[in-house]
Amino acid sequence: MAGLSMPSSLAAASTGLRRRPRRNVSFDLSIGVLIAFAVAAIAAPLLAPHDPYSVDLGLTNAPPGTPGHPLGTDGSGRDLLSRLLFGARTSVIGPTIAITVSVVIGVTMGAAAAWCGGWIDAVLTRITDFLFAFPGLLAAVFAVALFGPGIVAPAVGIAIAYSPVIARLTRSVVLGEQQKLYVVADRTMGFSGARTLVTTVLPNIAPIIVSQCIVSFGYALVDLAALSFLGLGVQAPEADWGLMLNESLPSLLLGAWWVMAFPAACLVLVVVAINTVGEGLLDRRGKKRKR
Amino acid sequence: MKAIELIGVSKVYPQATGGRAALDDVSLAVEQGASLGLIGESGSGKTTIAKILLGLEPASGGEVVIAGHRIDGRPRGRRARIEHARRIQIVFQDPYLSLNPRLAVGDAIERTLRLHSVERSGARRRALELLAQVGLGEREADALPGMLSGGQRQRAAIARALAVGPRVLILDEAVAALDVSVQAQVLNLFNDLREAEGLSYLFITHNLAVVQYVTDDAVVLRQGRVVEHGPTRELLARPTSPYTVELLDSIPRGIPRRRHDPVVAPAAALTESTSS
Repeated sequence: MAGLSMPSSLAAASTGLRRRPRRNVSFDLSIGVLIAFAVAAIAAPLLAPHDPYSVDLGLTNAPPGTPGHPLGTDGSGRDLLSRLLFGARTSVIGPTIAITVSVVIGVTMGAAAAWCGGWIDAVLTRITDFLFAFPGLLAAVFAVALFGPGIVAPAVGIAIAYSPVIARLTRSVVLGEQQKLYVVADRTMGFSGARTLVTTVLPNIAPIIVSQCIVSFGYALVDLAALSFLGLGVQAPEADWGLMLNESLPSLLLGAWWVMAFPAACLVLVVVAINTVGEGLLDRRGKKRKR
Repeated sequence: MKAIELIGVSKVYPQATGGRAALDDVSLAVEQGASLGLIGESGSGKTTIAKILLGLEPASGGEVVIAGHRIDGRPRGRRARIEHARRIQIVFQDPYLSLNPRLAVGDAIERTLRLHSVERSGARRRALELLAQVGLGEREADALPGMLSGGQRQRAAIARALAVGPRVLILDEAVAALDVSVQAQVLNLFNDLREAEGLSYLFITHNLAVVQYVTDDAVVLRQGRVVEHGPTRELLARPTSPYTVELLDSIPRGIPRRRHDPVVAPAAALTESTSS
C-alpha cells in the first residue's frame, strides 16, 4: 500500500533524529562551578587554610597574596578564603531550603486550585491573596520570633512568603495547560485526573516553575543576607556571604575592596551558574534512555 | 447493536449567550464497522457531538449509546474510565497539539498500553507493532513529537488511539492540518485500518472530498440540527436540503465523486477543496 512504507529518502532525511544535543560549554562550565562550590561547602574544614573565626588584629584588611592568606583578611584579620569556604554552606543552604519548601507549598496549592476548580479554587486563591500581603522579610521575622535565629527558621519564613508567587504562577499555567489537546487526550484514553496532572501537566509546566525558582533563589539569597545583617539570620561570628558583604563596609571605606569583592563574586558566580544550568536543562528536553 | 447511537440529543452550554442550543434534537447512528461522515461548518455542533461521545461533556437531553452502553458525562471510577476509553477513541485535527511534547511517541504509546493492562515487558514490543501498523519505525518511536513531520505525528496519534483497542474512532478533522499529499496517505491508512481492525468511524469534517473518500453515510449538521442524512454518494449527488446544495456549490467543480479512486485522484480533489 502506497503511503505506508517509508521512502528511503525520507528515512535518510530523518537520521538526524537521534543526534545528541550540542555540547554547551557554558552549561558544562556552570555545572563545574556548582560542583566546585558544593565540594567547597562540604569539604570546607579540610580545604580552609585557617580557622574562619580566628581573629588576628595585627593583620587586618591584608591584601590578597599575603603569605598564608591567599585572598587576604577582613577587618578583623580573619582569613577570607576560609570564611568564603565555610560561607558556601550557610549561603546556599538557606535559599535552597526556602525554594524547596516554597515550591512544595506553591505547586500543591496552585495545581490543586486550577485542577479542582470550584470552591477549592476560591478558597486557595483567598489564602494565596492573604499570603501575598506578607512581605518576605516580615514573615521571616515572625519565624525567627517563634523559632529563634539561625538558617532554618528564616528560610521557612521566606518560603511561606514566596509560595504565593509560585502558587499563582502554577495555577495560571495549569489552567492554560488543561486546555491543551494532549491533556484532553490523556483523559479520553482513560487516565485519571490525578495521574494526568502529575505525569503530563506538571512535567510540561516544570520549565516555567524552574525559571521562577531561579529568580526566587536570587531574591532568597539577598533576603537571607539582609536577615543576617539584621542579626536575625546567620549569627555574627558565623561565616556567611551575605553577612560578609555587610561586614565589609568599614574595610571598603579603608580601600580594602577585596573584603567585599570576593564574597560578592562568589554570590554572582553561584547565581549565574544556577541560571545557566537551569536554562540548559530546559533546552535538553529530556530524551531519556531507551532499553 | 449499533456502534454509536444518538437519540434526540440536545446540548445547551450553561454559559452560552442567549441560551442557544449547541445541539437540538440530534439523532444519528453508526452501524458496526461503518463509517459515518459528520459534515458542517464550525459552530454547527460537530465538536459538541464528539465531546459528548467521549464523555467530556454531558448531554442536556436525549440518549447517547455507544456499543450498547449509555454515556452520560465523564465516566466515574477507574473501571468505568478504562471501559469507556476502550469503546471510543479520537484522533484530533492537529497532531502538533495532541501529542505530549515531552514524551517520545513510543513512550506515549507504551504508557497508554500499560494503563490498559499490557505488561511492561510486552508494551515496548506492542508499541512498535502499532507504530509499524501506521507506517512508523523504531526511529520514530524514540523521537519526540517535535522531531517528526505533521504526517508522522498524525500517524503516531492514530497508533496511540489504537493502543487503547477501541471499537469506534472519532476522526475530528483528522487530515485537515496535513499537507495534501500526506492527507491521501492518511486517508488510505484509515480505510486499511477499518478493514483490518473492524473499526467504526465517525468522520467529522467540513471537507466533502474527504467525506466521499472514507465514509458510507453522511449527516449534514447546521446550527445544531441535522438537515440531511443518507448514503454519502446519494447525498453528494442529489442533495435535498438547500444548505447541502450551498455547501456543495462552495466547492470548485471537477471533484471525482467516487469512493475508490486511485490515490492521486483524492489528493487532487483535496487540493481544490482545501484551497477554496
